[in-house]
Amino acid sequence: MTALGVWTIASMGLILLAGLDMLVYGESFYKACWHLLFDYTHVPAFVMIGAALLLAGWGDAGAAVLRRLRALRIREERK
Amino acid sequence: MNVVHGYTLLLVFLLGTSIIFGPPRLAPDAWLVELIAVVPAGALFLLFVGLAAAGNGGNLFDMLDKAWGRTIGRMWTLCYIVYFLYIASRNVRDMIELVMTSILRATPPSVLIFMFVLVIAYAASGGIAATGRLSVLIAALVGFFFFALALLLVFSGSVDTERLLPFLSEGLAKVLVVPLKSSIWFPYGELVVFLVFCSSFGTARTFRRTGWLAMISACLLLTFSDLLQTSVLGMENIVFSIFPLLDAARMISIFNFITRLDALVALLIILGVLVKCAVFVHAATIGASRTFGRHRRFAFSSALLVGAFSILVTHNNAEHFEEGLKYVIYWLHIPAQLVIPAATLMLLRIRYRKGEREHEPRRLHDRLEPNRTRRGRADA
Amino acid sequence: MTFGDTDDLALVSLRFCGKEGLLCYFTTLTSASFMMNYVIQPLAQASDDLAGEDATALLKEVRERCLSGLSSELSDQLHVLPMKLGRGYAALFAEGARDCLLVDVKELVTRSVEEPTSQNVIRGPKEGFTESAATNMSLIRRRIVTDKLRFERYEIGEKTRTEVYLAYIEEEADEEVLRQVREQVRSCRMVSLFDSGSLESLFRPRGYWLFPTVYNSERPDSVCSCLLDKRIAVIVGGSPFVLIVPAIFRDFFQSPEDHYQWFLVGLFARLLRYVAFLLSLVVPSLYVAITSYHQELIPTILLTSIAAQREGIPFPAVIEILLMEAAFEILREAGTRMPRLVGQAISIAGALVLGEAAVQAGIVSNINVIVVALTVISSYVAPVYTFGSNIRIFRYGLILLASFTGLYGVILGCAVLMIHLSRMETFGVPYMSPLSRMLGGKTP
Repeated sequence: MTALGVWTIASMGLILLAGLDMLVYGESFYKACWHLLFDYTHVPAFVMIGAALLLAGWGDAGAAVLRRLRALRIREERK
Repeated sequence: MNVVHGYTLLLVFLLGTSIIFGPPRLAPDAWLVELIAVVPAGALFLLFVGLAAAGNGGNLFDMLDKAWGRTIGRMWTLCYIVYFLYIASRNVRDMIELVMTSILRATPPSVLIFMFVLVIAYAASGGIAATGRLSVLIAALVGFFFFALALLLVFSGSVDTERLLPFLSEGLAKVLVVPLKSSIWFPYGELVVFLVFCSSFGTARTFRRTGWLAMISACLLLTFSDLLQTSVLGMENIVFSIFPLLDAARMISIFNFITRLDALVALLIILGVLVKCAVFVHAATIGASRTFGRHRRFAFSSALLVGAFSILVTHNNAEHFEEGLKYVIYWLHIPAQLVIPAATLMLLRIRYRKGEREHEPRRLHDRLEPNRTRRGRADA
Repeated sequence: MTFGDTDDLALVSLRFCGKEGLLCYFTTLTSASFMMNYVIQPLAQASDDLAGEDATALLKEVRERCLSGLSSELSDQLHVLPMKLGRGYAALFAEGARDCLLVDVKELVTRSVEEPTSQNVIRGPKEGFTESAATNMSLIRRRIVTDKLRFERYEIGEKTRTEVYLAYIEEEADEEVLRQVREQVRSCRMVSLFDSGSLESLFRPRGYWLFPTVYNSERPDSVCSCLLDKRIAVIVGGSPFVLIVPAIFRDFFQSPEDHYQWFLVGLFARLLRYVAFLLSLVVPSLYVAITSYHQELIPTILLTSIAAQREGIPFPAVIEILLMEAAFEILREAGTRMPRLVGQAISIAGALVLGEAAVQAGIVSNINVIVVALTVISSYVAPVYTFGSNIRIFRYGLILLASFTGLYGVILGCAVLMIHLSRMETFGVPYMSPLSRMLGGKTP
């Protein structure tokens, strides 16, 4: 769930930034998105977004694994 | 959270960046603008307090859910989360610009931003009470260094009060209108983020009192800072200066021994922005864990997003400023700080003033909801 | 018996009141004169008119009449016998009796009350705690004359069964904290406990290893003022260091002397300690940052002098500082372990020779030696030694940060430290709270 959340917030944020660029430079939304995404100086930003997603996903995966283990253990104990 | 902690948190929050950036340059006698701005800002704050009181101890996101219903409330929550992260990233960008101007010129900004973001993540993963205690330390440091700067400026003879004249050269009307255009939204309007924490202040009454006290102290300190900057730099120069406090600090020269105190200003802004961003990321984390299931790791991810946004925000500093002065105010600050809270307050009053009739259908709804939240909890 | 063939177990057979009896005790836990005067003679001189009664009743009579000055108990459980004997009890068996009489005859040789070895003051009491828990409790009891003072006894350590006493003043100590401390002590599973230092990790909240959360003191006056200040003292038998929980940041910068002198002097001294602590943390990293990246911050005249000094040095500032710090750490460690007579020579020789010679050899610069010396001296200002030892690691971290990102890194590092301090909580009390009655402030 957290990975989904992070992804949602990140994409909403990117849309916001593109929108503001649109206002400031007076260009179309498509062009603003293009400038935002395909600019080599922005690569560190996308690395950070990727890291945030990875962190959230890792946490999720870890939690899921723990839950599975706990369920298995409960099943074993019940036997 | 203690009253003292709350007060210093609000104070550091308000002073954080505005002490460096000085007055808005839209009118001369900018220090008067700062002084007058507390009046409309106070009115805005009363709106927030009203909302806090109507919310009955819940936080901003609870209020949004109550007033607008679950789906639209969730949507507003998401919008607010993105808004908070955006402001945080703007602040980080401001700070990085100053750091790169004054102390570290050649380091790539992404490295600096990444390091700062890690610190914010660490600060945000404690509770708001821990940030309150931190703000006491930081308030002491910021106060000490600011007054040291002021004293050194006086001793080095850079302060010339004649530069404050002519007084009211463009008339009083302009001075009265400018606060409505910019000062009320930054920095005072950003207090909207504290609606997320109003329950940790205690009652709405404590929130109001602490807020008032903090706003008045911040106003006085900012006016003092503006007076200082104007009397050191002069009214014409201050228009062209990006970081007036930095330029003022560069004027300090005592016996040719104590000079070039840029680093002190950098220290001030780093600490101020740290507290501001910690508060914003806290708020975003609380909102995100409400919407997407409880998870404490949201703090780190949110902080990383802040870092990412601060690189993506603008290409250069000029664009950053223009965006900040015009578009952000109209499209972001006014809706988020005025329109939506006012609408929420009105909706809350309407819905709950109608009395018990509104409560029955909502209770059925509440009884249906536990199933949904239980499933949500299992997923978390 | 379980004690095997040990030499110090004495089995004395004697005759009292017409019955045969056996007295077992450890000669090393008591003194011969004590046994003679208080146990054996009264038993031998017990009047014979007790004879002929039931053996158990005889023991009871003997206990009430002859041995009434000593604490004793009747017990018929043989399995507690080894433990009781090991605690300094003597077991008296009478012919035909089911029970045995256990008499407390402990007379241990302990150190007398002397001046404490650490935390010395010039003006103030010079009594220090000793290894005997009873003496320590007496030193506390005689200073706090209130009926609310309580001592609770626990035993920790399977093999050593060390006595641990919790001392607190009933109305002062917080119930919640007390409950947590009791829980921790009860659930402690250790094999042996010789010093209170091993207990400190018990009271440390997880993840907060950088700053100590337990205060230890060798001075009774310190401990008593802490007890009056809502704290709980933990007295460990065999250790002259008494632990005090919960401990907050301020405690480690207070010396008892501050309160025995005029308050401004105490205030000034405390301020000096804070400043010295700060200096010991940031001065090396500031040196590295400023000389490597921000030379413009140094006043011009000083800058030319420093530049001249660093002219022929082959290393960058970071390596210089790290080399000198490593050298000082080695010196410090060597100085602590050396026997006292030789230690003096090492410290003087080391400091002078190392510093001077290194500068002459062109390995480090003069300013470097000054910086490191200032750091080392400042780090000793904190009145409690354990405070400085963990924070040294942080200093190295700051130096490395300064070498990568200059002043910005130092500021961020200090911010991380401040955040860590603000987040720390011991037993529900925030670490940075001004919890101190001694300054006349109220607990928030």
